Amino acid sequence: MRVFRARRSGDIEARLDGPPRVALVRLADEMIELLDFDAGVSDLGDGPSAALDPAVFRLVPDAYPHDPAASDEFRRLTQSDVLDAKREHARTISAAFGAEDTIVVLDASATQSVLRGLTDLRLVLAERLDIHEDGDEGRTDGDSAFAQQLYWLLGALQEDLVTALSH
Amino acid sequence: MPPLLDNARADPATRTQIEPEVDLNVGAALDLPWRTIVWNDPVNLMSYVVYVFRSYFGFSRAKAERLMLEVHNDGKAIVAVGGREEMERHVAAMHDYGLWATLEKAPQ
Repeated sequence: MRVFRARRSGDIEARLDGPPRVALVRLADEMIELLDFDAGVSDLGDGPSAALDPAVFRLVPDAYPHDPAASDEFRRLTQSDVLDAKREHARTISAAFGAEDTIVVLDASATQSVLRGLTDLRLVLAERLDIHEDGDEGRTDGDSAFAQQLYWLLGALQEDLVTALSH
Repeated sequence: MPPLLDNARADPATRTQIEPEVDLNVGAALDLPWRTIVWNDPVNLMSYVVYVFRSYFGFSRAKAERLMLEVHNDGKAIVAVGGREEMERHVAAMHDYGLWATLEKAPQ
């Protein structure tokens, strides 16, 4: 899959159309909804991680796996900033690929958002598909087939973007 | 432990040959007792992990690839040592990149 290409200026251009483009924008929009919903829920108390959706927990894992109190304190200090950044990554993807332009042009900042946003989307899909360890193929029941396709599409997009950035 | 301090003073060419052990021990000797650890996960692409290590930490391609393989093969790798606040900044940055990172106190 060849979607991203580095321009001489340092910008990255992306050519993506059809169903993959529609699906990418839809996923990014769902990510924004998920993060907005979770931000509302986690304000309700019971500690900063208590109410997190498992998929969101995967985006902001415990910083101190053996120390819940320190992990909670770390969340109080950093979690809203990290999740705000992730919301911005999803918004960037949605705005860039939701626009009418055939060729999407990303400056350095938008490129970083797209790169990280693709990772976030894969992490959330992996959680929904029960992909937890190397070798896990994840759920393959009827409802999961489309999510599986999206998971692999996002992986191909990310690999392609990393390649474009490495040249 | 004099040998460690000697290593710390060694010229850069020598140091690169014997890291990462030297880096970590020097960290402990200088009272930099916290470690940033990146864990293996089935989601992140090897190429992406190398990209993150290079662009965020400024590691050489060789070092980034070695650490990525350590994560992949051993399940985790120590990617930085230092003070607690600095390591917390690294962990939050890794979470922004979507990598699974934690911090812990180095064994005394």
